[in-house]
Amino acid sequence: MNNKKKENNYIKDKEVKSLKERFNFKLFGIIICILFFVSFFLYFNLIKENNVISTQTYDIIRNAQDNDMNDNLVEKTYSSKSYLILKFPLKITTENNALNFLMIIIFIVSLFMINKLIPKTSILLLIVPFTPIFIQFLFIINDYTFSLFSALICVYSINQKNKYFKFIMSLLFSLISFFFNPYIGLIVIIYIVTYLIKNTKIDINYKKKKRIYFSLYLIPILITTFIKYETTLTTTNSFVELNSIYGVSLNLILIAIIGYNKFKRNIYLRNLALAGFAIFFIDKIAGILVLNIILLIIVSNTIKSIIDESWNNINLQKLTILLLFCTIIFSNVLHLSFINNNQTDNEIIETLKEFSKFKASTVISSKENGYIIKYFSNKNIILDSEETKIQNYKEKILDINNLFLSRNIDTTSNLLKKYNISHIIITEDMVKNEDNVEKYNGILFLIDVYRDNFKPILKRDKITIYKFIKK
Amino acid sequence: MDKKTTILIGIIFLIAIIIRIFFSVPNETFNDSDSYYSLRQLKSIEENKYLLYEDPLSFSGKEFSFMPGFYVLMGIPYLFFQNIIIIKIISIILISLTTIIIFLISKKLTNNKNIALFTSFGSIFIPILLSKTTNNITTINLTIPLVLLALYLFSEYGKSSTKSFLYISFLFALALVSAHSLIFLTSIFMYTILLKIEKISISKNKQEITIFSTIFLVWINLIFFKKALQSHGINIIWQNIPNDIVFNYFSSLNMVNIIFFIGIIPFVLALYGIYNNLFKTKKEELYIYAGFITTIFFLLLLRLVKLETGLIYLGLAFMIFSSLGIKDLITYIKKTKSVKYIKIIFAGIFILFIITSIIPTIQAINNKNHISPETIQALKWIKNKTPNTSIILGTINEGHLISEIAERKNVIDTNFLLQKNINDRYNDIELIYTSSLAIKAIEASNRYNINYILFDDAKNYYNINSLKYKDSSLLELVYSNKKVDIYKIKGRVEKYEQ
Repeated sequence: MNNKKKENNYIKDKEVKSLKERFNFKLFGIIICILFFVSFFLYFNLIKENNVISTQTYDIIRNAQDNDMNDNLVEKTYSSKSYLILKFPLKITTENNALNFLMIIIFIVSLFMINKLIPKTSILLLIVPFTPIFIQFLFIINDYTFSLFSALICVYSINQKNKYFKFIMSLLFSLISFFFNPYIGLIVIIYIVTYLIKNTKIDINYKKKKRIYFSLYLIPILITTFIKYETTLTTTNSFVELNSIYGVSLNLILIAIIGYNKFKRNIYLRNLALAGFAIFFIDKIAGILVLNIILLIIVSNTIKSIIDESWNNINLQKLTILLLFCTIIFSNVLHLSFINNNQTDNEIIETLKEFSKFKASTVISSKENGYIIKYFSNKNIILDSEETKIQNYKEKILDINNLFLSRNIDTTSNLLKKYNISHIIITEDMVKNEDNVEKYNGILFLIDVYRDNFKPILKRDKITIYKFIKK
Repeated sequence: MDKKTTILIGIIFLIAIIIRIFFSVPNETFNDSDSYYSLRQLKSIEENKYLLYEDPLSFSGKEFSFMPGFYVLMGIPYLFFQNIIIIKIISIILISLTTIIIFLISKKLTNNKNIALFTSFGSIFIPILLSKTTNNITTINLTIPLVLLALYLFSEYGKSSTKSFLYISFLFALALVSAHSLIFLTSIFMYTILLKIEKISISKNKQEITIFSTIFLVWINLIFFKKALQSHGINIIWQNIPNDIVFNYFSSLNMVNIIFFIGIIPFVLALYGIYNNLFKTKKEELYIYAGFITTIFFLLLLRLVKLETGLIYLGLAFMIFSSLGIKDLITYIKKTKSVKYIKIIFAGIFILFIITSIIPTIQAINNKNHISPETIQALKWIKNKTPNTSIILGTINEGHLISEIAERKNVIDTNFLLQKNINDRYNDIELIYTSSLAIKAIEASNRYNINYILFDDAKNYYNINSLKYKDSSLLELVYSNKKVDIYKIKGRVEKYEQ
């Protein structure tokens, strides 16, 4: 009987082995490679000539070009520190080339750093460029980019063998990360402390360790509670599937949940995830970026474990892996497409450049258009997206909301006179976007009714610039 | 399965078809307005060879977000025959397949073909199921058998390569037919949670298929409902149904109603079956259906599923568990002295079942509001006598009728997804029908550029006899029959702020 059992087990083992041998990725690998080539083709074809996604980048370029720290066109002090990095490349080349150069450097170095954090399977490295974090790295240059980039270098350095290299590099880059964004910097510090507790030769007893971990958890929680609490936490702004430039992918979350069991005891991921969640409530973008890195690590490990495990049904295993790659690639190619569509339209840019030749005192448009009006038209505006940094912003916001909503010509005229506004810029987004229709209802109505007061001086499909004629 | 059982299950399947045909085919109209929406999709396939994802008539023009499987499946025979009766019959055959699936599940659970046959027969007469799936062509007719089949094949997964292949095939089909695939997915999750609670280890096969099903179903639903997700965010789980409707759905819900809709005998037997089997024996297969029943309870509790749909699933789940109740009852009686009367006892149960399930079912079907000939006449008048661009106001139940029969733009129908400010719109419509002040009503109707008001279903829907401002100079009665009035809005009331 026992011999028979042994024989059966042997046959079973042999079957499993032969299944594993058959599962050698030959055909499967070819399918995935084709999928990737098609996706890469899409990836790079989707990128238009103009590679600036976040309009804030225009403000950073202006900051790098100006020798003054004050933004004279909107009465504020520049808050971004990224201009320091952009200053040098801008001295030797054009804006587009400088941005391209930075993006490529960040992309390649980050890919190398991430490669050290995820399992060493070449196929996994293929999916990394399709994850939200890399799409955000590749297209958006601002303080977050540099802070996270420094954080990755810091994490990479701390895991090196050379003591001095480890110490100097991790200290240097954690400071740089902190300089660009204190919250991401804080997460780097949490990582370093966790590393030290785990790897230090000094004997720390269990109780002490518990206390240290507890205080580590406490820092972000205290910050969340006492410093600042962003109430703008809405689902539509936090997931890439819901068209958010900065967001986590629902698909990646799902895959991470599937693989959660295997990583719940990983102290690094646990500490970083908790800190990431806490930071999310203070600085949403910083939190999202950190969570994206953690997700990427868990997801790549989950995929690897699915590839390595021997499943009872080998075809189902192949189908599941293919499905995993499809979900990641398609969801993020769509994200990329959305990000690409978010670029400022060339027609708007050309019209604003043309408008720079016109004389104008102050211009009003949506606050989202603020950066590009300043950059391309070099005209004074009242508000841009960093409204809270602007002098008397509370009063200005109230007045401008009133100006956009009011259907009374006298109210609007008085407000236009108060801020010495000579021109009004209406873009396609302000008219057609359903969320904006209510927002600019009043001014659109008045422009339509009081045509003598609002004369169009530049009219294109996606943008119209009106001159306000005082009466 | 022996020949006799096959013949018997065939007969039960035929009875299910014949009963539905009896109540469906003689009617020229449908029992619900959603069928008219399906009809528009079929006509779109016939005329344009594609599905209606952008409709100029619904909500006076909006996009749709839906799974195409059912309409494509029905569209193919419609292309060949262009006959509604054939489509009705196909729809009836699809929903009647439920009897066979219930038989398979019950047989698997009880290992007793007679009990399985009785349960299968009983499933024909679940009052809510029969009344809501008779004389209509809606996705639910295909979704219900697919959900049950997916549950059954999930429990059988890994037992043979054919069953495994069938499971994956039907999972694909379910994913492409309805978002109810997510109900199935939640049931699987609930099953794994229940197994964990009971400390029963989940088999490797089940683990593998759960991972696959989860990734696949979530991905497919994300692809098809991406726009809706972007538009409504997390609120998509409430399907953008106006708050008042959700409240009204559930305000009438109480235990007596639930029992009435499900049937008292299946309800009692199922409770007995659940008590005896879930709490006393730990059979892994049972937890799949326990997961299903728990999911439906939670969805109903959180108002995440339409009341009618939830009750249909609940009725079927109770029917499955009632088979276990019957089995346990037989075992119990056999142990007692009443064993001599076992036939009389079961005859009594059967008679009780007929009284409590079959009679209410037939009543429910007869009480169901068919679209009346007067309504059809009025809609045809709109089609012939009003300009093509007119916007017609009707209640939610009349929206699809206006689009399909009158071929005019409606203001509201049951496709709420992707519609912004749905609550404002719903409240404005209520204001137009119930306001005493003409100026307020006309001002609200101007917001949606309404040209005509159809006054028919509003009597029941808002519990009114007539428009209170019908004599106003802003309104003109242009059509009237025994049941329906149509008013033309003559004036405009603009409200300019400040």
